[in-house]
Amino acid sequence: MKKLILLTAAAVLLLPLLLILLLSLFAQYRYPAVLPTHFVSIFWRNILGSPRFYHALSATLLLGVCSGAGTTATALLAARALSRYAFAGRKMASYLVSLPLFIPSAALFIGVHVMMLRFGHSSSFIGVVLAHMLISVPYGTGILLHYYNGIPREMEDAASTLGCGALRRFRRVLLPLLMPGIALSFSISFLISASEYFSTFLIGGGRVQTLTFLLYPYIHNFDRGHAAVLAIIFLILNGLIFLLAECIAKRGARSTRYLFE
Amino acid sequence: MTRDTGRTAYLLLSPLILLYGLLLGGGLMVIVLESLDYIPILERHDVTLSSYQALLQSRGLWRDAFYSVYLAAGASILSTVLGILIADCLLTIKRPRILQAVALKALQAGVILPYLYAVFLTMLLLGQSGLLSRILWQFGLIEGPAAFPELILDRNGIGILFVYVLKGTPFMALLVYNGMASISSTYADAAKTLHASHFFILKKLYIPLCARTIVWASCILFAYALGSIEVPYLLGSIAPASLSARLYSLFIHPDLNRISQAMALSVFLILLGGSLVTVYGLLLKKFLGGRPL
Repeated sequence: MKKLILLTAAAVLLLPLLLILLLSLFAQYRYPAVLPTHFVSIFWRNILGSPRFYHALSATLLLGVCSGAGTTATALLAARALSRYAFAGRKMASYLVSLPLFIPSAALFIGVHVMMLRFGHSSSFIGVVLAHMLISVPYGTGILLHYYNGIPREMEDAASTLGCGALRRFRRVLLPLLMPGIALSFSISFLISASEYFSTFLIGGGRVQTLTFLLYPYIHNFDRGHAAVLAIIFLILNGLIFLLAECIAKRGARSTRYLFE
Repeated sequence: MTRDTGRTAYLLLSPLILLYGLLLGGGLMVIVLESLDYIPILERHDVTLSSYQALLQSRGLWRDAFYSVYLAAGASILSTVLGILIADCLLTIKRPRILQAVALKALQAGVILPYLYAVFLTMLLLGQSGLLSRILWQFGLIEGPAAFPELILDRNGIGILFVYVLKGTPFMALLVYNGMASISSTYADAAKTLHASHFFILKKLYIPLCARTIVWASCILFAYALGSIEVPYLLGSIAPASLSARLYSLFIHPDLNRISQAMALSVFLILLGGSLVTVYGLLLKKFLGGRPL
């Protein structure tokens, strides 16, 4: 029974990906046929040969890296405050961190959009980064708080007693222990940023064109072949980022299990 | 916590406070102001409640609200149940390790998959000429695409629910699996020596100990399903439409007079979402038997 449940779950998640791979390579998919036939490479050539694709790829990477770095930096500071200091409103703050995730995103992003409009059109890229950070920081803070709480305070105290300044203490004691958390926070923020469609479209005003932005019309018109190619490229990109994070996390001292906590 | 002056903590929190205050707080403020018809850019300075009146009188508002809540509650409850079930299987299955590894990788792939691709997959699988329909035809169970039930662009939102569950279940399963795996097996061993059944251990031990994580994740799924635009926009019917799809069509309406109505609908959505997420979270916590948060 348990085997059956796990097999079904794995099949439902993995088999469609196989179908997508086939659809990117075979053009004919008339009704009763279960699998597509007639090998072509036109879909891949069209996508890989268009300059728009490379623009979208670099925009996705740039956005993801900016959002990932911004999120992780913000979350590192916030997690330190929440784990190491007693201050008025600490409990409240630890709940409020998740607030952006509990507000229906349509309303949330319209709010961000009207706010960013006040700063002028030139700030659309920064606006998109900030909007993506808004929905990534809750995850980042949660992850890093978990790692921070796992580091005994005594280690920091010992380092201080031995004459480490704040910066050195961070670099030599905290950073190595936090590294897996930092990698995870970065990769999840990257993932969120790359997956977002609505906020990128709304706040970027069409000027920030990412891979999902490129994909949307293909899905809307149900252009299977091109959509499949973009889907595969996207999955490979995000899979690589995740693998990289997992590699870094495995090298660290702590368990890699806490994917989202 | 010896070297704690509150000031350092607030300083550390300041980037987060700035981000939330500016975008979340500022955004909400502008939404409320514009919903009251106070839009200086359009030379409107009189505060009125007319947009709320128009909103509450608009046709099908409550039907759409009900539809949205149905989608959100259905998606989050289904994902939560399935996620816990899969996490439990992952944790207790021991023998074919390969199956455990493959299932874990599949769940991770499910988390990586963006919603937009989940929409694409759903069209490929559940459309009238989709994979499921083709397989049924091969077995001679249906006569053609028209005989296959309309699962996407339908009134019951089956396709939309499928997308949310497809995305929500791996998220929930991985979280719960990680939470359960970190619980010491001493408790379960003690329960087993007292002849507790597997289901009893899950219900009385593992779920309550993970209740906080489960409630948190389930609330996120609820709020996401309530507020997502692209999923109901691509897979939904015209009527009933989800509130977020309705909001989006108001927002992009060329008639600028509709702006205040769109903002009023945003306020409505936020209030509805906020109160429902709270109620849902509290009920779920009570049901799961978690300790007070």
